Amino acid sequence: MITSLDDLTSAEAREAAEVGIAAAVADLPSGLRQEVAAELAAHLCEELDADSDELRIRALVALFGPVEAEPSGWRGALDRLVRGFDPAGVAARLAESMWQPADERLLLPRAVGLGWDLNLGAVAVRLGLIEPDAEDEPFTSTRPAAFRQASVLPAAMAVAVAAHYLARWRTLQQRLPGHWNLFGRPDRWTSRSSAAVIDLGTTLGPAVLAAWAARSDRPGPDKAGVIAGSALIASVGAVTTVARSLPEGRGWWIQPALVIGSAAAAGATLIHLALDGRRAEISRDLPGQ
Amino acid sequence: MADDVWSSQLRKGVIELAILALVAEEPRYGSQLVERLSAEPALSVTAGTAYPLLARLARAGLVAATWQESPVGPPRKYYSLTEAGSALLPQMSSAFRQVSAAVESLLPPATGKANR
Repeated sequence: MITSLDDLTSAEAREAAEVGIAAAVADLPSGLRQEVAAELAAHLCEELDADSDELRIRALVALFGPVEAEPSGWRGALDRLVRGFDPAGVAARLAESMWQPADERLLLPRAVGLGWDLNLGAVAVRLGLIEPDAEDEPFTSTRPAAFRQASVLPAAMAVAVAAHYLARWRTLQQRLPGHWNLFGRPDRWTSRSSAAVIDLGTTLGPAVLAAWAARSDRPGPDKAGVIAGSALIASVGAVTTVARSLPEGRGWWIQPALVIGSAAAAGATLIHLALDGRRAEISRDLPGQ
Repeated sequence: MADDVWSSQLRKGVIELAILALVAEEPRYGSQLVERLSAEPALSVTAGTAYPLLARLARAGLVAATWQESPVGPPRKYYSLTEAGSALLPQMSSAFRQVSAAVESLLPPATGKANR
């Protein structure tokens, strides 16, 4: 028995242990990984001697078995709620809960807060758009140009909203719908100026964020989460802008359009990024393809 | 109900070994593995179980995933055993056989009736 993986005399053995533990906890939410990794390392240390070799370590790591992704019941719900207030890694967790093509469940525990997220990856697989294992790791092979292309969608929505208010400012009502009930009838009103500020804010802010993320050095999953989240929020702003300009500001389709539009915007972003990752991997393995 | 849960847990514990054994025979793609495993009722899995397992085995360095041309349709991702996987498979197989033999020696003869 050893007290720490640093006691292993073989550098290859230490690396095998670290790689094996990292792989075992990779599916866990980022807030749990460090804690579980420490427990797995302690368990390994009990079974190893200082001169244990790489093969012995790989055999032990293989016996870890599936590491539960989420604690169940109320503990899992509370864990997710607490993690929702931790900004670090939120973007990557968003991508995780919205894009898991290998997981056939359509609903996955929400990355932030309580509830469920639509697994757009499973939807894409069922529609035949992508294979469950199209990418070795989602968005890690996606090329920089694809991230920049994806950031165009929220930018385009921001431009469209700005053009709408510029073109129609004089003809818009002084009071515009501020909120709609489930049946698409306005139940709150706001001034034209406030509506413009809100709609421009909910499209321009995400557009800037998406553009920054696309050009940043952050890992692919982080960038994908930020850009998809930006597209989702910007689409809410864009649909709201259109809805406010309707005669009497109402329509039965408003609430469904907000939900479907935001899902479609995020989904289109993630599918675009995943398909580019797939193409990059095919080019890697089949030069000339 | 309890039997279903237990059987499911037992199956989960051996599916990784089964997958490694299959790709040791020859490189296979994901749906091919699912189909082959489903040919053995005791090892039947869904794609939703197999693909995350394949991803975990790839992260652990035991299998390698590479895209290859397919004679029918678009390229497919094939899984093959790595050097580490080749070294580990005999150890896992031996461990499984030892456990299996030990449990078998403890079980009462199969009578087809539940113990009262």
